[in-house]
Amino acid sequence: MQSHHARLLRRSARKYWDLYLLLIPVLVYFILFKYLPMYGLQISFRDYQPRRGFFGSEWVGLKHFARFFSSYNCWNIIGNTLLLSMLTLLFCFPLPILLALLLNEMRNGAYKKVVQTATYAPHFLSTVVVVGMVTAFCSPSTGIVNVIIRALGGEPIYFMAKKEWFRPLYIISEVWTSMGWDSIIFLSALAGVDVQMYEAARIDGASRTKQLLYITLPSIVPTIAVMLILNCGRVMNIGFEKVFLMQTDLNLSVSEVISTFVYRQGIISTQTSYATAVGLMNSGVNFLLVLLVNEISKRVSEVGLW
Amino acid sequence: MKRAKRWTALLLALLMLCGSSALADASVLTESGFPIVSEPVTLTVMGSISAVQPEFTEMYLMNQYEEMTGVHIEWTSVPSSARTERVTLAISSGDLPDVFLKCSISASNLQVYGDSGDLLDLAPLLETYAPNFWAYAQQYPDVLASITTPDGHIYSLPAIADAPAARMNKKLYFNQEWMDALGMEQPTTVDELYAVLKAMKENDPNGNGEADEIPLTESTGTLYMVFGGLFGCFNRGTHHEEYDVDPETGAVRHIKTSDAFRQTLEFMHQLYEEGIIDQECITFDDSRAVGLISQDRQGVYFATNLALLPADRMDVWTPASGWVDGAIWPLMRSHLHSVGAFAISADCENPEVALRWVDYFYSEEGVRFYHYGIEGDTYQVNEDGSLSYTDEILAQVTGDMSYDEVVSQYSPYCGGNNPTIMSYPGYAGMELSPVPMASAEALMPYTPEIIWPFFNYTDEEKDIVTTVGTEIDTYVKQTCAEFLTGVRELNDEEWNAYVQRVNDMGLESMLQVMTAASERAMSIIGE
Amino acid sequence: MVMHAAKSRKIRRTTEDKVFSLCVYALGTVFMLLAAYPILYVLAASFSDPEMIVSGQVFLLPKGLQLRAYEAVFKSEDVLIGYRNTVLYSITGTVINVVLTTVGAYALSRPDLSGRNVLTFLISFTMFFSGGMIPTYITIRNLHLLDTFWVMVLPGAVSATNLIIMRNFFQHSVSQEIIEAAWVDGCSNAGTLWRVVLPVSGSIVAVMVIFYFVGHWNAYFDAMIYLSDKNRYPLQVFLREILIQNQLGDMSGGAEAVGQSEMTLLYESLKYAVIVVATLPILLVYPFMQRYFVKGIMMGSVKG
Repeated sequence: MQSHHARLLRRSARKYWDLYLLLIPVLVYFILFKYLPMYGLQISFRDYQPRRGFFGSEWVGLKHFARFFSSYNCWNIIGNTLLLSMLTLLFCFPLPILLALLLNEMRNGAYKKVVQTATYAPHFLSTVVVVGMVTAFCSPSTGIVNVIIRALGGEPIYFMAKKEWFRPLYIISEVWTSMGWDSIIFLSALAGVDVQMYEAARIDGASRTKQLLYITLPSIVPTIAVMLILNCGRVMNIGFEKVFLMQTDLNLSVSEVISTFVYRQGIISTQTSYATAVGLMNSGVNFLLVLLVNEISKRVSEVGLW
Repeated sequence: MKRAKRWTALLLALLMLCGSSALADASVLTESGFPIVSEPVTLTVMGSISAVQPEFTEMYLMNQYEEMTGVHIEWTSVPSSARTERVTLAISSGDLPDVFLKCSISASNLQVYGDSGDLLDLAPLLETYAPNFWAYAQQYPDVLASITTPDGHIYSLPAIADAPAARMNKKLYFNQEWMDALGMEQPTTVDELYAVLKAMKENDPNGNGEADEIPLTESTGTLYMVFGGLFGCFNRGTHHEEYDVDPETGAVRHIKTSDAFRQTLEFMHQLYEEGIIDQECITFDDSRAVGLISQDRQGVYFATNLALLPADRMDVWTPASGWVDGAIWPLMRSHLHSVGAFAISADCENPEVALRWVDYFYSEEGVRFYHYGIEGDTYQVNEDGSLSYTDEILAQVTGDMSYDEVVSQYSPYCGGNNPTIMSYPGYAGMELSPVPMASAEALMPYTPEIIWPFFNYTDEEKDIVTTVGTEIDTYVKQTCAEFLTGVRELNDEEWNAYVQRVNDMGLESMLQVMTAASERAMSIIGE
Repeated sequence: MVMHAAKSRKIRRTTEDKVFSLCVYALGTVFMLLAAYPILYVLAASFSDPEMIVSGQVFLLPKGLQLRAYEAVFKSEDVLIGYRNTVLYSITGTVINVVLTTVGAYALSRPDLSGRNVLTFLISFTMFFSGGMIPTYITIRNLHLLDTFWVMVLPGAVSATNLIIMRNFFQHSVSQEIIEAAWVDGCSNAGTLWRVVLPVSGSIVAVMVIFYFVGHWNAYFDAMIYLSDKNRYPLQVFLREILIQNQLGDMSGGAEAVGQSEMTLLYESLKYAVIVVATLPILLVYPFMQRYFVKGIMMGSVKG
């Protein structure tokens, strides 16, 4: 079917050129604001000096990359980064889908709006406040979590000082701030599902669980696939601010990630080149990952970025 | 852009060839005093302003100063929260102002911009064109040591801390109500210190019948310093939290793997176990202490000043009258408060005018002018010798306008990083209020004899400090916190394993760097 | 017999559906409460005495009710200027964003556009690699955009991520038959997009509006880098400055604030009030956007 349509469209490509016309503003934007400044990337391979500029600074090849990989703790830090981001992906990706499905099944419009607005509101909190609240809620003496634990007869836990709690706390707060917001895109995909299919299913006597599994889910698979690919492109980019604020003396061995490590090194000397190099390395890994996931997705679900 | 630069260079060369124009500029300066120039000169200045501050053009004293000096300033103001980025962009894009003011340029950035030729080396000019600053720096050469790069260049003038209360970043205060309730005196020995803290913990000094007292709380970093000082650690002051000098051998040592620090940790662990040190010190921030104090649960307070406390809890705190005999109070910096307060760009045509312009602020009279303005016009001298703004100005402080907002209509000092001296009585910060001043005076005799200034590293040294140094610091930080809280037992085996690991990480190379850097600094100081 | 079987099947189905429905509402409520509690805490804290916040006594209701934090935010005229600017940037910016993204995404979604995979690839590439702050600044300066209204709008005119999301929607959720039908009727590409594709894409356009609008609303970094004129600052820059001004901070860092009342306890409630002030307007807009999600379903049913 699909290929038949494509053939038909291609055959009737009489106003082929005006599609390019539609594309021009977008292409101009990307060339001007994205590709033109990309000469800046070369400072990863140079020792950047402002007055000498991007083309005049000394070429040092892979020096900055070598320096990163020669660090005593480099693999531990890379491990921490990957583990934290994989876990984040594992929890933060499926839950918005679940929430979107739930909201989609709610028939009471007013209640649905309340739930939706409440779950999406945390997106607007700044990182400082989120971490401040995590610390406050988890305080062993006054935090509400420990108040509840004590009320249930348990011993209070000093969450922020226990390294085994760093990852759970990070992920829980991440899920909390992003779940509602991330579900928006899936909700829009659900809105595109043909209601006639549900009617047909009801006539056939399918339960709502079955409708969910056999109509709703399959119809948003393309969106899920694209969002997953896009998310894989952020795996190395664990946000600096939140991790940094959640670090305590006692959780450093699990909470030190690439971005915080580079920040610590940067305090002592200005390292535009070094930081750019590490950023470039992260982007490179992410890009390869996206290429890979995109290929897999194209084979499995016929959905891809390009 | 590149081409434009080449043209400017060519033009400059031509000007030089034409002869005397460069010299003619120098003669723009007057002999001394005000005005500082014989014909009008304009400087472009990039200055940082914070939320309470108006534009520089709307500050009364800056306008007065323009008339006094005859130097017209064209201001570009940048928000203080983005000043670092704005300086970087100005320099990288080649749109240089003549002067950067209050931009808090970091030592490492200064070195980068200086080495690349974007900032002017001030070292050869200071003696001639900045006599006030130079005189102070001769008297207290630790200032010079802090701002001089390994190559001997100086790329910025700093904010200088002169009054002891401004140099001591944390002072000590006791909860007098508790001391009275317990009937105890301030401690002068380690045993007395322990007894006081123990009594605070156990004898219910706040009298509410609950054992909810937490004698002291602070960040682990500050606590290490306070208690380390009891065992002779941190004997080179507060700029250096990881390295000092071994009192026996005279060699540079890594503090936190020394035996003295092991004793410190053992003592602190005991205090932690007994609940004398706050169990939540791992996540300490200032609001923790403020919260405890507002509930009357804290007995000892470490802070710059008492400004954070709710008004009704301020009077409770009495300044320290001294410290444990023979101990060190390490929370003391050199005369340097912060670098990067004033820098001149390489494009500035009248650097000597810019220097003369700023140098006044490093004189006794200039300090007063910078913070308080003109006697009788904007400030008055109180009976005790301290200064304050005139009653008319202070009357503007209402619910709608805070003190800072009111005084910012006159002086540029809010927001910090000022090219001037924080000295008594001209400096207007809260550190110079009576209680912090008294505490600082009493603790002065216990501060380290020699205080290392900020170190400036060569490129090779920097590579080691940023890699080996940072990694060691991170590992040490976590392990010491484990020893402190008891996650890891502090026995011979664990301690030796920890010391061994730090050595394996490359401590030796760090010790060499610190030795070289300290020798360089001390040779400038001349000790 | 047959009737009976059908009936019992129907009953079984409704019980199952009831359980299903119950689960949906129960889980939804749990999610809502988990998200709502911290939000209510923010609201309560913004009205509370800062001393009560730092001593951990605020749980759900304001303690030591006071409005000082809000007074501190609203007393400055700057905040009103900021509101005005933010609204202007957000509306103008979002219009440009949505128009460009829609047009671009539609073109890229068409299977008959040769080279579209290469173009999509090149656009995706920019999600990973960028020249960095300095070259971007120099480009913007050379375009004479510094310190103008447009610098807050143009440098973020299209987001590659959103472009791909929208293209994906056009590809997979818009029926190709209706596009084909439009072709047969002699519609131009622009006409097809406007008259045929957009009417069934209400939900994705709504998503784009929300994404872009909120992005503009929360933006502050570009403003701090590219703007010098205080009269052009958006709300977020003023709010950040107020926060930093009032931050509790130790002085040991050396370079930070020096002033009499600068370090103040007010920060503790101020940081929550700032969120309320900045977020409430946009939070109230959201429920109105939601009807477009419903509309999408109804329009979708027409197709085929």
